[in-house]
Amino acid sequence: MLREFEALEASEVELMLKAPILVCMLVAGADGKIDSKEVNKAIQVARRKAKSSDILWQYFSVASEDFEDKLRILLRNYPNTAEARNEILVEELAALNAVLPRVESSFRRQFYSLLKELAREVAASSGGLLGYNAIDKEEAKYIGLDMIRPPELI
Amino acid sequence: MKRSSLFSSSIVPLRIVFLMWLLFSLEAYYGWPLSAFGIVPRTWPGLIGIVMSPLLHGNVFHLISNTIPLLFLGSVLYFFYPRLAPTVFFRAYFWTNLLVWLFARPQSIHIGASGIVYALAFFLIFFGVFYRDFRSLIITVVVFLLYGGVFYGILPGDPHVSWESHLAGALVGIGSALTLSRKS
Repeated sequence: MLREFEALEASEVELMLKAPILVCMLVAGADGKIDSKEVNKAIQVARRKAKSSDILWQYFSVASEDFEDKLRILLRNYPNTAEARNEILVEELAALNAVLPRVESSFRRQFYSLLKELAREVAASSGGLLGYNAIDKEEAKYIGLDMIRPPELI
Repeated sequence: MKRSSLFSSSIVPLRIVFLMWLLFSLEAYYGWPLSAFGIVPRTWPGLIGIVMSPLLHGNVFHLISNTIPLLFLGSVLYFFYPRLAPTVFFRAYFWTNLLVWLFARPQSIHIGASGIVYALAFFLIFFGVFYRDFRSLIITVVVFLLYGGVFYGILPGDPHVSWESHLAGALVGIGSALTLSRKS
């Protein structure tokens, strides 16, 4: 068990660990299809963040393990249509609002930044013309992750 | 003029610091998410932050980095300006936080006593500039030498830092120095 999650229930730890996958599914799947470019980008961001952050390193060594497989397996449990799927994903991500305040503040802030960065980079990773206008209207609706309350500013 | 002792000058800052450490300890021990009571700009629930936010801190480093200047600057204020100190402290606490509630970036939670620290530092630096007597100018120079870095803190930088609180504190400090120096 990660030290940061000691105060959390098992179901809350599970939510924290699958949050990057949920964000990836939400943003990448907003336009109806999740392509491998988007999944690869999510893995790339996760690895980069893990390397650059002392605080998130341990978290990511667990969360990014078999990322694509976990995503594909998890995806099977959700409705096929983007609209119905996203409704559930938004609800699940909003549940982080009850969990995050009980996680140590530096971790909480970095975790939140990571999810935002993940959403932005996944959305920009495919579509558009030569990379321009890559974020479509549906993806733009979700990249702000408005369902998750931002951590406090000090 | 009423003379203050060093101890009596530190009573108000000590009380605030005591409450800061008490709430931080309760939050850490019981796991209560008290940070949710910070200032959330322009929301009704976020109004409670005007009273609560200076008492809430994100981690122990944040708490220590506000404790030391709050004790020092608060004591300097009450020691050298005992007549003005309650007004300045009241403004530093409530006006600063009200400005944050009114103008800070939306969908964010602002916590910490740094707004008060900035207000006190800017007051002590600028009061001497506006009042221009020897003692006040010495205080200006000493506080500037120790806390001159506050001028950088009012600029946007780290997205996790509430520079709005710093800027609001600076404005309240300068405004108070200007108005109170004219009345003194």
